[in-house]
Amino acid sequence: MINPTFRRPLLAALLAVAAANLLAATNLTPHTVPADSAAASPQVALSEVTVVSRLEAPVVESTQLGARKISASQIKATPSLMGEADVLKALTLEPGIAAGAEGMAEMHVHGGNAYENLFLLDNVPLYQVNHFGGLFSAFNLDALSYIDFYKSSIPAKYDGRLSSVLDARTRSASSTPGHHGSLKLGITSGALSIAGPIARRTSYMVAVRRSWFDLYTIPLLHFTNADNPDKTRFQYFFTDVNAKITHRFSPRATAFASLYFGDDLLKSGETTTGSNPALRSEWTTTDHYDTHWGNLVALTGLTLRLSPAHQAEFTAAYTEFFSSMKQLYTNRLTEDNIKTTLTSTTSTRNRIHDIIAKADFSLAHSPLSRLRYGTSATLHTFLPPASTRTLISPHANAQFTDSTSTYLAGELKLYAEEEVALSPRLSLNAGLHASLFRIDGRTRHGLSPRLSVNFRPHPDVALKGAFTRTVQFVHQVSHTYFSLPTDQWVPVAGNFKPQTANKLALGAYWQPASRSVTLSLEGYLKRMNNLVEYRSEYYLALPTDPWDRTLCTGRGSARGIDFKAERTTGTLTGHVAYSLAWADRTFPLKNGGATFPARFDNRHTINLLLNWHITRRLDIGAAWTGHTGNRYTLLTQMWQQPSFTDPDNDYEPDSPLRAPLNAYTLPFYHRLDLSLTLHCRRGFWNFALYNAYNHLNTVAIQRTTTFTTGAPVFRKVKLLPIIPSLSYTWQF
Amino acid sequence: MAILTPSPRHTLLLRRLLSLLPLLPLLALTSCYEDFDPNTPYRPVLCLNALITAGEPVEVDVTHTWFYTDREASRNHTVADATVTLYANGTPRPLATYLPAPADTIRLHASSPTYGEAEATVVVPPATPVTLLPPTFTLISTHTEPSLPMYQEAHFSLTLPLRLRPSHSPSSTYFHLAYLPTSPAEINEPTSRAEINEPASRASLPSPESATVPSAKARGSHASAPASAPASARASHAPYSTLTLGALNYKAEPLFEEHIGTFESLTGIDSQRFLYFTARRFASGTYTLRLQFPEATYHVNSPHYSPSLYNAAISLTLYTISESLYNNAVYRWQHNLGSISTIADLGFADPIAAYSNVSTGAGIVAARTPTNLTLPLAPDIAAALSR
Repeated sequence: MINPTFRRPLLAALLAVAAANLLAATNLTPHTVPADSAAASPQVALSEVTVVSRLEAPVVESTQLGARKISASQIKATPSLMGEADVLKALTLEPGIAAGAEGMAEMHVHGGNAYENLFLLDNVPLYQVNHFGGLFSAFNLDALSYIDFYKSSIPAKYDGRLSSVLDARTRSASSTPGHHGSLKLGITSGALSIAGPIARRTSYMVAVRRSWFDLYTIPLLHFTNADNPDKTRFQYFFTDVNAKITHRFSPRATAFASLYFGDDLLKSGETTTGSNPALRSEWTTTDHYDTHWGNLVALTGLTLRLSPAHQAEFTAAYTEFFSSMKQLYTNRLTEDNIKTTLTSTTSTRNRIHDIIAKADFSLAHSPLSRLRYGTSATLHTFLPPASTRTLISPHANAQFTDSTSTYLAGELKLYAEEEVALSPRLSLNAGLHASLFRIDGRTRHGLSPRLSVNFRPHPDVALKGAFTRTVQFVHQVSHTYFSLPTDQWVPVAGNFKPQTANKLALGAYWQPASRSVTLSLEGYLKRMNNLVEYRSEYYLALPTDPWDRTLCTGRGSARGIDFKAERTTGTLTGHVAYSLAWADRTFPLKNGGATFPARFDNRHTINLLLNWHITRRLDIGAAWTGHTGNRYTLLTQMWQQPSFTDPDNDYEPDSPLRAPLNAYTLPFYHRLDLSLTLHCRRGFWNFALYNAYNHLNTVAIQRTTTFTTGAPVFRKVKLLPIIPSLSYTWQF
Repeated sequence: MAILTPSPRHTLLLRRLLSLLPLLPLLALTSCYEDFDPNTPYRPVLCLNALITAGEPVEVDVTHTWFYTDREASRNHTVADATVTLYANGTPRPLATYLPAPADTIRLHASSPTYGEAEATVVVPPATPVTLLPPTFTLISTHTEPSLPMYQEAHFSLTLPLRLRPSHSPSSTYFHLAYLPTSPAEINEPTSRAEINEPASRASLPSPESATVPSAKARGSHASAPASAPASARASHAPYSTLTLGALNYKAEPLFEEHIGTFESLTGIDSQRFLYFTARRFASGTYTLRLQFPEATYHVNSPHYSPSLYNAAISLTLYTISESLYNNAVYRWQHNLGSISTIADLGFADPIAAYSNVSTGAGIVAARTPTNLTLPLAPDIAAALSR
């Protein structure tokens, strides 16, 4: 779209074409080209050129259902917790996606589990997508160009997770001369990104983000520790580094190499001292915990245009998730001038890493059809938690090591899909993804057919249908609703079978040629088999027991309707989304074998997102979400047990009777987030309010006693009040 | 590249912002509570509890469940109209006279017109042969008080290796270990054992930690009796001798921490007072268990010498226990010390119901068979204090 303030129509048109090409080449979204850029003639007085490029193809033309291509700038415009714009939290405003636990960056797509989403960074799997237990995602938006997201029908290229695919693409340096970037200072983190040319055909991009919670805790602890003989220790921070180098050999060949390193570090513990003059003793005890976890992704690739119609992309990658924990306990005791020292160290490591080789091809063998095909081979290495415990004291010097065995698995994939326009009104996408997974000498296979059809009875209307089968060979089960560094990825081994999901989706869409408004209505029916969850009494198994001792398998189903009305142009943009959904599970070893609702079986969900571009300098954003409360297992009955294990008590204090799983529905959840963005000459200020009207939502129910009378009572636990945030981003 | 220089106005704003930053994260940590009545329907069921010990009469508690906020029911949940039937190896046996034997399969069935029925089955495990290997007695220091006729104090470390040879499959064999220090004063005063170690509950097991007094309290030179002495001795300054084992070094024996997961280790949760373990690490059918007491103490305070003053010993009982008792212990440990309950209370994990092997989900029916051992320490202590 060309700004009407242009004085010379011809030059304006040329600039618009040049800018559009530039945007298409760099995958940029709405972009502003300054008047003083090199493209402008010094003889022409121009204010600026505004070119709007649409990232997404018209929804009525594509065969995919529930697919989104969202730019990083769109995600940044979504109000968020602590002003930290987040890919996952932004996606939870789409219909059919449950947000999971309060404040956490999780997705439960169409009744699925959190670990059933395939997260890719430049087409390479990312195993841990959270920082700080899920409060922040690992995707640094300053490093991203856009994301592709599929929740209903999934292209045959992707498989390996049951519910959805999110492929985030890092950005390259723009073609604008010079080095450009941004520096963001927020309440919880800061970020710096910079990109530019290295040589005539080579460019770079580097983005770094670091949280600074420790900026608050270190002075606070310094103050509280000052007059206290016992010293508390706490420090947490996370760091993200994204880097990418792109080299264009020729118009036909481009090579790139990129690196992502995400790291969380948590230090905690205390040092206590004491003395007893009567016994002539004094002691110092140090109890320190260091936890360290993160991701490393390194990849290199080559895109080749084999012919005008035939393109190829080759990728070699290494991806790793690692976590390590260390506890150091030291006790120094002096008694009667005799000094003794006891040192105990416990360390645990857990990691998974993959070595991947991929080849993807795209062949447009006619104007009406395109064939995509490819293959990949992956060598997985799983290292379950391996603990080492060391004890050094005057009378003992011992070291114990748990299992350190690693599990190797090989995975081979092959896919092909054909997208063809059978007529002006009917198009079709048919594909097949085949996979082999070998571990413990056994080979498991998966065949995932995909079919989606688009019928257009009117140019503005599309009716779509799709069948999608997905297969998953690795899973990450957790007994908590947030991400822990101890959560481990486990391959399908032993008697477990690959998880599978069959989904049928139907949709109706209306989008006029201007694409200013889109209405969509999608329905889905999903059946999931061989799902893996913890058993009800998983905690009884020893940590060193085989994985399958704590897990059980079952099936699940989900069905629902997603409605969305979206406006994408004008000063007021946004969407209204509504979901009506059911999701349940049936596990022979849980709930007595009876079917029970899924934890995030939210019957009704309404999401409202508005972005109001008031003036050139001022934007306001609002996001309201409301949904039926999450499901909860409420233990209402008690029983009494004579104490078999505690000799200090006649009876055990608390013995709740088991109850039907997830039978209780928590109160309706609702929340409004607001943001205000004020653009200035060199950047912009962002002010945000999370939970603007301070409605604390119930996340759990405790059994406890009243503060006054001590009577037993059920108590709602409510979290996250209004949280303001402020950040400044300096663009250069 | 553009020059990175903020304007003075921006700098001022940033300074003001930074001065407020430390207050803001505190808001995120606050939470709110609201008491309420969930008003959900419920039906009380029967609850069965029994800890069956081989060779001892069986006692069964029959109660009923109650709604958590029902204070009246929580005070009185007896079941007056219940009948209990015991089946041993499939045959009904009189509850009052039946003495369970190892390998018996016992089924308890309770019925109440008001609360319905409940039943549970347990197998009395066979005893596990235990061999006491030579202990390691390491003297650290001795102390005497010249102003008293005979005041002696020995600090030593003690390591007891026990060789276990279970007769059952390692995957289904569980243990509970109990130990108790004994000394002449305690032997002469039968009530002191119960006073220190045994609570009133008939079902309780001896607790190793409650059998000892923290070693720090027992050390040093004292004209009066130390805290570890029997109460009567402290009151009257009568002759006494006391063995204090001090804290068991749980970290010295991997089996005592085998139930602790990575997350618990991370959060600093240890194995204090948990002496339940399995046979799953018994590679060759036997296992040498190590009990290490790094800070044991023996006190003697007497007006005159007597060889019996050194008659200290450690009583050890290794119970081979049913899976239900082990599971109950692990649940209790998780509930009291583990991380799961805490996370569930915050709303970030599913709440966990109490472990039960009774058909209604309420109660524990467990069994155990003891193997008793005694380790005399008199020679080592006498040798140490005579130096």
